[in-house]
Amino acid sequence: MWLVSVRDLLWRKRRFLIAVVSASLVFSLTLVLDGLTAHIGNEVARVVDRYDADTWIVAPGESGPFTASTLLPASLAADVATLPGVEHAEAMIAGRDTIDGKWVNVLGYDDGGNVEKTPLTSGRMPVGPGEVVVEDILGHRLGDTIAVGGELFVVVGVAHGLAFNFGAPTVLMPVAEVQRVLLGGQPLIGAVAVTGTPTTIPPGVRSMTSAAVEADMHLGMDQSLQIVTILDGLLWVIAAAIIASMVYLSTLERIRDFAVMKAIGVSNRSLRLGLAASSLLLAVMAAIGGTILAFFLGPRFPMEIETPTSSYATLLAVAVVVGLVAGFIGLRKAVRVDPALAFGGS
Amino acid sequence: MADVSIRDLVVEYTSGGYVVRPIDGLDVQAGDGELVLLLGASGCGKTTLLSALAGILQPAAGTITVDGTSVTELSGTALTEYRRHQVGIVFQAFNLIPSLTAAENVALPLLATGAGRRASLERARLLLDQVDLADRVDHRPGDLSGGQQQRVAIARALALEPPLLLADEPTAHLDYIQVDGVIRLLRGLAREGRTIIVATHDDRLLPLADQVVELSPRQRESVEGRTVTMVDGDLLFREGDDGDLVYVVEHGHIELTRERADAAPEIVARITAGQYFGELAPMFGLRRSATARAVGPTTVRGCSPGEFRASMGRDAVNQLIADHSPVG
Repeated sequence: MWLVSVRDLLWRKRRFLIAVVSASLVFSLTLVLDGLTAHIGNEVARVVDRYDADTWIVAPGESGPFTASTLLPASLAADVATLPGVEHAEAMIAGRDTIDGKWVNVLGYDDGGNVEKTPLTSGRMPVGPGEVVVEDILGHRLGDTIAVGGELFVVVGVAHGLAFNFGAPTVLMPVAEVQRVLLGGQPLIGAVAVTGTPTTIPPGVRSMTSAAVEADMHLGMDQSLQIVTILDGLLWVIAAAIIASMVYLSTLERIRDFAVMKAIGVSNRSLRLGLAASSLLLAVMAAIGGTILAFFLGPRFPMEIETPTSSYATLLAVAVVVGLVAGFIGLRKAVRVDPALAFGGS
Repeated sequence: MADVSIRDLVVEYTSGGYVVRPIDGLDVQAGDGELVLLLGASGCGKTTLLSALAGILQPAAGTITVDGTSVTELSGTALTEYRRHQVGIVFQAFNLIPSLTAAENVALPLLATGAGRRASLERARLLLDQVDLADRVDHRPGDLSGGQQQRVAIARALALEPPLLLADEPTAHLDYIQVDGVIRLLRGLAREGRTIIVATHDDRLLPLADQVVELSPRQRESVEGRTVTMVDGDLLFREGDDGDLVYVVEHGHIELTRERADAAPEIVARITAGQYFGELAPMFGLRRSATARAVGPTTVRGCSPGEFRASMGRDAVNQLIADHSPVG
């Protein structure tokens, strides 16, 4: 009975193709949204990992080093470095500015620290005032001049993978430069990233683990991520509806065919298998189409899309389930057809 | 051997809350190699009888035996097997699958049994050759004429060499040239080992039949009138009986009842002296649609449809038909 199913799909190839393309578009959007969600989680982890810190010393309150508005004296980094259990202490400061009409993160790093060792895609780290490293997604090349805090900087290096805050590109410069252009020269820092485990911490500050820092960075994004998750779920429902309506409409049009097949002795099992196969084929082709489309759609999004490999496997598995569930509705209709319908005029 | 035996067959269903029996107490015996015509007007039960013979419709009572198999006792897999191997059906509207080629349509019953695709298509080509469609094996139904589609449908019905071939109004959608081809084909197929039963209202098929079963009551203009005297509760005619006379109540009352879906009788009219009833069945060759029973001592006069028309006048008869509530 595979023959009948395959022939029917070919017979209705225009409708089949429309359904495959429509469901593919929806599936590709689910992959893109998965990639978006993954990217938002990954970008936070990448930036925090760059500091290779076990502990973060931050100002009192609930905010973390990347979200705090309360600053600490710059001398704190040297004080923390002398504490027992501390292998390395690195000052950092995170600010925000606008470049070329885009919000950017301005990240200040300590000389000789882990962030200074950030691998660059081209150029070098700044060695003097007025030099800056920019994220590649900002679109600037080596030698370009950009304005940060009203001061002009020359781009001497380009890096990748430092974006955070929903894909906002990052500008890297020494802490002293951040203090000069964003804090009016005040000797203040945002936090101290510590390698090792200090047995005590100085009075008036508190410590955070890297996990707590990441959780703090996610706070502002949770609501947005929930919206993305809801949209993702709705897209699955839309894909299922497209496949189900295609299968159901085809079933309704083929009621007489099913009645004839039953009348001439085709078993319900064969009808079920044939319809399930059509539905599955539609869903799997849509999943494959969705995967291909996602590769083309992803780069056109203003944020990096990092679709995990597991999402592709999940898509295929869910497509199979969607296909079976969608096909089930038409399938019930088909097996309940009264073969007596085959008699009588057209 | 392909003997078909139908004994005291009753098929009933409900319509509008009432019981309808298109077939009530039918007996038919068809021998091996015979071509039997089921003749009758639309709605007389021809297709219903074919459905019952095909094992698609379960009769309310009676037995159908095909080639020794009691069809009315089959169910589940046995019924599917019967439909596959014992009976081939040629439908009125051809009912070919539009997405399949002629050969694939013919191969369908073979594929349903699990036969291989190549072998099924080979057999299908052979059958299409037998019905003079060797050059149309790869055509889809939409590219074939009505007569060619009907021949494909016949080839499909023969795919598993069933001993019983059923054809439902096989000439209904064909022009006279195509009818000729189909008639010749059906006649040629009726031979030892195969019985063919054709349901039709097409009189042109009569010369082709070995046996004709008339399912419609015949209009009997020449029937003699009579006067019937009854006591309370006496039955004049029963729902489903052939209609012969139109009755006028001379004395007493007649109660017309109809059987409801729950088997309870429902009074649909009470006829008093001077009123007539039961006119439609004899005039149009229909079955009685209600049961007539006397209420108290009653005398009715029965007259033929011709007498009735003459006594009423043409205009009055036409008016009563137009205004008639369907009873009796």
